[in-house]
Amino acid sequence: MVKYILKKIVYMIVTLWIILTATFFLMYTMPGDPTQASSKVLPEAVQENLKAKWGLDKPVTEQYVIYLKNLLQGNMGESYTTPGLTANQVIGERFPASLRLGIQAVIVGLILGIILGVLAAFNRGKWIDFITIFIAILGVSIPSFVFAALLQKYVAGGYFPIVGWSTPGMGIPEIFQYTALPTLSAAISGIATYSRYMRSSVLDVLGSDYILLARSKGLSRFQIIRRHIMRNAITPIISIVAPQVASIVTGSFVIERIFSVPGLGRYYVDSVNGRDYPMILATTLFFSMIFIVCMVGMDILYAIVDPRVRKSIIEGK
Amino acid sequence: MKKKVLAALLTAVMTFSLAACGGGGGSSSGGSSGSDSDAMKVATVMTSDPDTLDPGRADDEQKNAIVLESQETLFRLIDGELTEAGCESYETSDDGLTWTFHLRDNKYSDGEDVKAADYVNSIRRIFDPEVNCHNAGIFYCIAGGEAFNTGEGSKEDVGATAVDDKTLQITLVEPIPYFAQLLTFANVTPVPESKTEGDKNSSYGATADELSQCGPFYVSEWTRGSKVVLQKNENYWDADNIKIDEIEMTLAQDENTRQQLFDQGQIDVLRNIDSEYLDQKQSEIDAGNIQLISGPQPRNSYICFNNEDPNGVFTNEKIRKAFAIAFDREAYATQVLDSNKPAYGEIPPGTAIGTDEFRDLYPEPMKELLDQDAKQLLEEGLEEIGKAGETLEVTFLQKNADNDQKVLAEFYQNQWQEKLGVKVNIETASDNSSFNNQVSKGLYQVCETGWGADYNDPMTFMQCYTTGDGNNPAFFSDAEYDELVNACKTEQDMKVRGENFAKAEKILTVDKCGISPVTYTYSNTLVSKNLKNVYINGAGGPAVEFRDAYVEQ
Repeated sequence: MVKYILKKIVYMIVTLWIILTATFFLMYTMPGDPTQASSKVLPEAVQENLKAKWGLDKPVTEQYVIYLKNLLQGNMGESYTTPGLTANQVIGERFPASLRLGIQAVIVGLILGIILGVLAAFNRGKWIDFITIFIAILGVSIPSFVFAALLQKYVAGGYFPIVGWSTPGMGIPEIFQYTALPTLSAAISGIATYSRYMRSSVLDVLGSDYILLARSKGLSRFQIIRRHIMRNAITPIISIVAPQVASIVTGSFVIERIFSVPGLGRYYVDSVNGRDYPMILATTLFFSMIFIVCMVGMDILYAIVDPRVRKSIIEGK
Repeated sequence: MKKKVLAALLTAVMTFSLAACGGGGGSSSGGSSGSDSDAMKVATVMTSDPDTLDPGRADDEQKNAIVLESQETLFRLIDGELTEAGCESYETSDDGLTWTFHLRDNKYSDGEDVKAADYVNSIRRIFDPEVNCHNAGIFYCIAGGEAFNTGEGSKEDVGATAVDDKTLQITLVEPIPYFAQLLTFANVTPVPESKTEGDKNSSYGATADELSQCGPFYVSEWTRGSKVVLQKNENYWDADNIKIDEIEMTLAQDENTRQQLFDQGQIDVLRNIDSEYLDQKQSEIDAGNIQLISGPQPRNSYICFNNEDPNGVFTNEKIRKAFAIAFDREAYATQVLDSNKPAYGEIPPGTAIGTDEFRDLYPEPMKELLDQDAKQLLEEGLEEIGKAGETLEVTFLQKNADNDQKVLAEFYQNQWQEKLGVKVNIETASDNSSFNNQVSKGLYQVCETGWGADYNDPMTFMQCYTTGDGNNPAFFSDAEYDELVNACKTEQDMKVRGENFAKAEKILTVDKCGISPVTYTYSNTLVSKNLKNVYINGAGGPAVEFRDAYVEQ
């Protein structure tokens, strides 16, 4: 098992390096450079000076080597647009908001999704099943930013603020007040996806022989759900949760923009538009890392939940 | 057991519906945000997240909105009038090259005195390559500025000196008549040298606590990605006349979000609203519950022909004219764009020449051109470039992939295809940076772009199209035009300047038709009922000036 995890980590580092290299070279082929991001055209001599200052006058391959060297020393560089602001600082300041939003959204999505899915499966063909299907279709087909705008228009303004985010030192009620709507907006697609998966996998399990056996043994319905159904039905959910966690943590920049959440996703988009090279690289690298960690985490979780997978890993070594 | 699960679900449903009810009740209430306590508070929005608050780097509307309230410029626009602010009085030498300013007794919010040397430091920093001030080119009129900026001179040679603590002297290369206008820029506001030594030179302004601030307000709180809070500066020389105690600027990058904030009375000012939202608010405006301030903004948009077109099409004057004529500006301004006006000249209303409004004295030159027959001009032009009888195919470069830019590009395509019988392809730049890059390298045929005034003088528009200027995307070049415009840099007689500009404008837009203006920008600003005495500025000064504003109780 340890060997398995180590192997995964090595793969992870290699993947990160590939992503970094691809981003680095793609970024330089992007038309425009940091001296041209503003609408005012700088005099040519000034552009040259700036490029020299940022090391952009060197050949790209040399810049790449320099960047890698700095990176290995833990130095991800300084922003071009905000001198003095390092990539580490930006991630430190901005990521907690994205992380909170992502985690809350996944938790809300999982809880509501699983409850709805199980209820729907047990009440197949009844009204609760139709409601679940209805929510699932809405959640999948309505983009989260439309949902966010609707929530903002019809729900926000009274108890829930229109924009803003919790700041350190706030109490639970205040955190709830500030984060509820963005979280719900980000969670809606999760609720839809999880409930549909859960419904079909519970239905699958319900039809199997061991459930029949469990029932004939005289187990109570709750015990059957807890011990036999949930455990088996939840595995497919795990395989979709990990990428969902990653994409919600890293990809909710539209929701961050609508609710003015000071998150990293929005900063990422801004830095691409401003051609702030060090920041683009740092955020890409960081997001990839989150994504890969989530995937590795999923593999490990899978092994824990499903004895068949565990067995194949042990045999496979 | 089913009941248990059902109960959990019900709880969840109830939580959400409760939330919905709570919000529903709140949204119908409204009212001004300033009335809850004695302190006079105003709330507004930031449309972008400022990357720094270094006055040397204040080069966009958002940063200016903050820096110009928290810093004192030598001159301030009070209700549009250029008024002595940081300086009490000033004199110029007979040749117009030396300007001497007598500074007011003003203090920073931390109690330190504002000294002439602090202004000198800022003026040097405009040109300092390390600071990377995007407005540096505008100040090349200051002696030694260009050399320092391009890395050839040193900061000591920049023409700004502190004669004593309260006297500042600036030396110019040429006696530009609109120099006082440039002194409303945030870049020329005092920063003590001690704050910008060493590494701090480039990183000054990354946090609020390190700022030296001597304006009517000071930045008391700055949370990146969230908000900026300005408080009244009790040390300001005119603090007795500043009535607002606090300005809160919340970041809201999404237009829809900003409208929500205004709808619910959480902000007092909303700038540049679109016509759809204006229609929605019209009844409230008529009822006197909201104030509407609308007026021209010194900004235009124009068809930018590549006068050095690599395909050899728009190098031809007659073809440029044909394309300029075959475009319905009226329909474009009213149907495609929001609240803008069709333009028949380069210099927009709201631009002053001396004390007069330029457009009041000099009529727009383009109307006679537009009466000519576009198709005939196109045929003649095609003959001149040796493509007679062919169906011309041109490519319009779209600014970015946004939907409104797409609509705009398609309008151009439609107009030209219909009226000229040419084929227009649309090429889309991925974003503004790549658009700027492509245009500045001349790798395009025709596009739409625009220019907003940096300062209030026709020069800000006309200088762009002189030969070889960095902001001349059309690569327009005409000896007579250059001569007329360059003469205006030193000519002191406003009548002569006005005539020169009018002549040059005709060359640019009619005779040679290097570019073809299409719209002037008009902007609508909504202000809450009780907030009075807010000034809306076009060129120079913060876009919304709160210095003299107050909330009527």
